[in-house]
Amino acid sequence: MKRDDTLLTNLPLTETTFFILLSLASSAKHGYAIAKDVESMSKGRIVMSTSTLYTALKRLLEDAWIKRAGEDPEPDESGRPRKTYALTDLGLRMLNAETIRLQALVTTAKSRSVGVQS
Amino acid sequence: MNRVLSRIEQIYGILTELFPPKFKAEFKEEMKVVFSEIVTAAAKKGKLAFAIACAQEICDLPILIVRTHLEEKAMIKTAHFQPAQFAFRAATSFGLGLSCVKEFAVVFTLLFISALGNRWGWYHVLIASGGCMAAALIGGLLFAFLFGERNQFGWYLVVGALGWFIPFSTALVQSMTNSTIFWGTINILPFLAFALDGAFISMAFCVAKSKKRSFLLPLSITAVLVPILCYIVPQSLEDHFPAYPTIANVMMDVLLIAGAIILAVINGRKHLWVVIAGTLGLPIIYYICIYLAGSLYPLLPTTIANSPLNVVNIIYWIILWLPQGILLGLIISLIFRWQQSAGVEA
Repeated sequence: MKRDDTLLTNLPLTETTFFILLSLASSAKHGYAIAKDVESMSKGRIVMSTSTLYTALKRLLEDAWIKRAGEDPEPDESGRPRKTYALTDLGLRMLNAETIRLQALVTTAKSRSVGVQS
Repeated sequence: MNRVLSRIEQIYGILTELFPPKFKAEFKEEMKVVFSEIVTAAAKKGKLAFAIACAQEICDLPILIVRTHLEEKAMIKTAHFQPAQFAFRAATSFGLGLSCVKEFAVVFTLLFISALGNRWGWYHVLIASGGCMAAALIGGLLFAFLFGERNQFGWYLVVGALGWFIPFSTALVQSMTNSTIFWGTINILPFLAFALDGAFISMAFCVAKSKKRSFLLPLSITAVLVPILCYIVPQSLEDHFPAYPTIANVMMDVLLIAGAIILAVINGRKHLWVVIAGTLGLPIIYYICIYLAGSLYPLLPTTIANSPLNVVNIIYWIILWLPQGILLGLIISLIFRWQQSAGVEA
């Protein structure tokens, strides 16, 4: 029950947070891969700077929505290791809760024939 | 390019030192790696993409550094700073825009007046429009650098430039007409000119953010027609009715302001208050700044027309316009965000 309250009080998620969680839902990723994935998923609308990305990751780590997942076996071009991040169970539940919320909004809009292409 | 890249990375490394110790210990090295990857990828796309990437990286740093410091001190544990970041970008864009673009346009006006005298012809309108376009491009570039997503750079540049161009070309061409109209001791025309600046800059901001391409045509037509109409109408009236040019100028300004408001409302109802805030905000901010500057040092010029073209005055106007633009940017961006978060029907 307490966890469900946590879910509700944290909704709605910001678009950036939603896309970061969505990016990590498929697999663990390093910072640059997350940034690129978010940019691609948002069709270039959300371009995160490095500092924006890491302050967001810091908050998500503190909230235990994501966790560190070791180092990427593939280092960057200059050979420096890249740390990866993965979604936690709580993070996955947050993502699901937000998706359900968004789905409900879309269903309501469609029921009023809004956003339906003729 | 490699040398430039490594220098930029060094500078970024130094700037990340400003983050609080705990944050640095945890993320600094990773941030340097990611920054390096982002700017290297941007550099491969070209110099423009590289410049935009660097500008966006650098612009986001100050507010996030402050934020992490405050968070580490647990002063604002749950504050959500995206609006602040947005406001900071708007303040930078409008502050630099108003001081650089306005300064360029004013210097150009004063040079123009002194070089060509008061009697003028068609080619003067063309030169004036060219000068204003050059000034407006600076505004458009700032707009695009600070707000434009990387794949929307051209759109932000064009809309931003048109937003700056229309009011400046109007004011420049009107300034060649001998027209003043006083309400008490206040000359209404400069007030209207500032309202026009505020209306068009804020409208361009809303249109650029909405990305509705259909607005490009009316804005472009307005940009072409306005300098011509501002020339023809008062000029043809001046010979027959000496008072009419003033009325024509006032009417043109009022019509343009109304047009900007209507365009913004068509763009989205939530943008009405943003444009009204810009229209009323800029003249009010201007007169407050002039009043404060005049209180500190009474000999300072109070209007651009009375201000001779010299280095001291150029610096003075830059300093005076910078806080005005910053304030305007803050007001517009906060109202824009507020209207968005309030979910006003678009």
